[in-house]
Amino acid sequence: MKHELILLLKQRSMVLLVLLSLILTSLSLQNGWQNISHIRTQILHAQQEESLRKQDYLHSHQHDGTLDAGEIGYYLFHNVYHAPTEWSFIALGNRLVTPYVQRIRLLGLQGQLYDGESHHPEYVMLGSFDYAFWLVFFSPLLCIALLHDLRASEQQAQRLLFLNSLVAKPAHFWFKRALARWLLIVTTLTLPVIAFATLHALSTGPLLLVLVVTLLYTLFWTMVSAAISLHTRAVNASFNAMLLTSLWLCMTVILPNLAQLWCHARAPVQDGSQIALQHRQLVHGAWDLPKTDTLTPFYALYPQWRDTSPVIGRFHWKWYFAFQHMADVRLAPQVAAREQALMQRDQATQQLGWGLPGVWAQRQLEQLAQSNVAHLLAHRQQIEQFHTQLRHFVYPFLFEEQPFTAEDFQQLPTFKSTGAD
Amino acid sequence: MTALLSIAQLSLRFAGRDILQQLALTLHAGEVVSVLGSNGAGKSTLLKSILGLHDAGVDQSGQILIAGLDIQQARPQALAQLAYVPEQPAVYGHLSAIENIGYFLRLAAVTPTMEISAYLDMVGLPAHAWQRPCSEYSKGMKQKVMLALALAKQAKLLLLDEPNSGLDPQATEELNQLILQCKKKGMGVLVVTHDVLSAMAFSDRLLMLANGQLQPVLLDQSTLTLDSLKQLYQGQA
Repeated sequence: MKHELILLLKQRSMVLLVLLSLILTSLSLQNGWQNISHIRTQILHAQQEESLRKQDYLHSHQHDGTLDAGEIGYYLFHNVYHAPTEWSFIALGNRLVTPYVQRIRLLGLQGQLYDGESHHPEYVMLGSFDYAFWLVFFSPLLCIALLHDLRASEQQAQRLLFLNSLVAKPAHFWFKRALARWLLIVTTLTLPVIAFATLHALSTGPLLLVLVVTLLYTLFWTMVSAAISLHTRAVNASFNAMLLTSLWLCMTVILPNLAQLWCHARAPVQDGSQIALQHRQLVHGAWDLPKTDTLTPFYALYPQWRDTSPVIGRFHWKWYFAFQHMADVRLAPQVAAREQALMQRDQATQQLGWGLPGVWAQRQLEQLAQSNVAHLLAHRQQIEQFHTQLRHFVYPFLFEEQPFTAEDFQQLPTFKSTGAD
Repeated sequence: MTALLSIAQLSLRFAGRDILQQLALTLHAGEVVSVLGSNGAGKSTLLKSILGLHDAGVDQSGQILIAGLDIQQARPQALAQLAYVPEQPAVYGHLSAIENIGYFLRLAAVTPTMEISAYLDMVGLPAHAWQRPCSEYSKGMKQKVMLALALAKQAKLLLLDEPNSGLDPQATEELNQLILQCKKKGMGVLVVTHDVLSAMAFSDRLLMLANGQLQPVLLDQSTLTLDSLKQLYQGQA
């Protein structure tokens, strides 16, 4: 094995390829890390800003030591964070196209959740240069570059017969040659990952998973490349390279995209902005409805507030927040259907992973990075839970018209992202 | 005395055509045999058969023994007894002569009894070239590296495929001397060549491969003419 590696590394072109792979792997890790660091910094700034803003609100909105619960519900924004985990840098996934800091109020949630729905078109089209992208899309090309002419290069140099006359078991010899190349590829991919994990003192469990995914995925492409380049008729390096790159294009670009189109057609998902629009229409429409049209169904959901003082006059906060919430309630089936469709797509993609190794590798890394659809939906559920917690905290002050003190203000729930480190 | 190479009733058929027919050949230690033949006569096929290699779809029968070992039944042991030098020297251009021989010896699982440089010295490769990449070598120098490998491998049987092809007269003469040196060391040498004059210079026997069979050729260098060579290749010698 050692002599095969030496034979490889004595070639200047091979050394350049190894260096290039090492540099690009390191860059992909660094780029992922920088993006995640930026997200962390932004979240930290947002947390500091939120704390200052809330203190400022407390000082500027107090009247005789109390605050107006309705005004708190309307004017006070609460930050919700999609905090990255320790290994999120490995696969940025949806993190760059979905907001990692959102500001929500006590108003209807669905109108606020999808405010930032529009994805950055460049990110959606190109993806981001992280380790998952580098591994899934480019490492197969490394395998192809190193293995496509395994036999053909020797045939071309008229060395094939000579080599076969030297080795007792040709199959064993070719196996060792392919293995040496695979080891070289794996080293250029895993060495920077290990160094990076050591440098940043990252936990070893996820590191092992990244290494296993890298080993298995490159092994697949090494086996495919070796199988084609060692075929007895595979004596034309250009043909092998063309065949393998076509296969790469099919398996990493064309088939996953076609499969994605199929998944999208099979499980259509309503655009979030449509939900936001419908929410706004429901809210606007509620202003013109008799108040009982809002409050009767609301009190059916919250009977504990039914016997509180009636809503008199043109406006009352409890009526306002009731119709905000009822808009959420009316849209709940659509939101659930949307989430179910997203999960269906996700499950279909998971099944595709059994046939498309690139999809499998991408999903494993996104799962580890918590940047996949399932985690995105879990994050939305966290926001919904926080919004519910917030409503339930403020409702007694609204409906029972209790005074909202500075102490109560300090007790307001704050969002805690369970995905955070 | 056991023959170093013994071929009996070797027939080979490929794509509906008989390439070799009941071919027989015996080669002993210290003997140099040259096989002549026109293009497509089956010289390379014969070498492949001796090496125990043949393409898919080839129908082969007969027996080939290398130092008494059947190439089909005991290929690893039989291969250890021989060294094959192809027409285009098989060295890796980015490695030096010493690195090339070291690599090939590892592939053959052979531990040399002397330093590799000693074998290079034996074949007359200048010392200043030993550590230089082989891409800078002439073809003659590369052939010397291949012969040094054969010596380092301690092969009993040397198979040479068109050894003089592309060599200038001086390099040809040097190579001829090296072949005779191998003969003196007791190696059996089988040469497949077009170069009748060189073959006459170092061979104990000349054989013509025609119609799938080997026929002995008797030539006298003093009476050799272009016409007699043409007749030889047309099977009229």
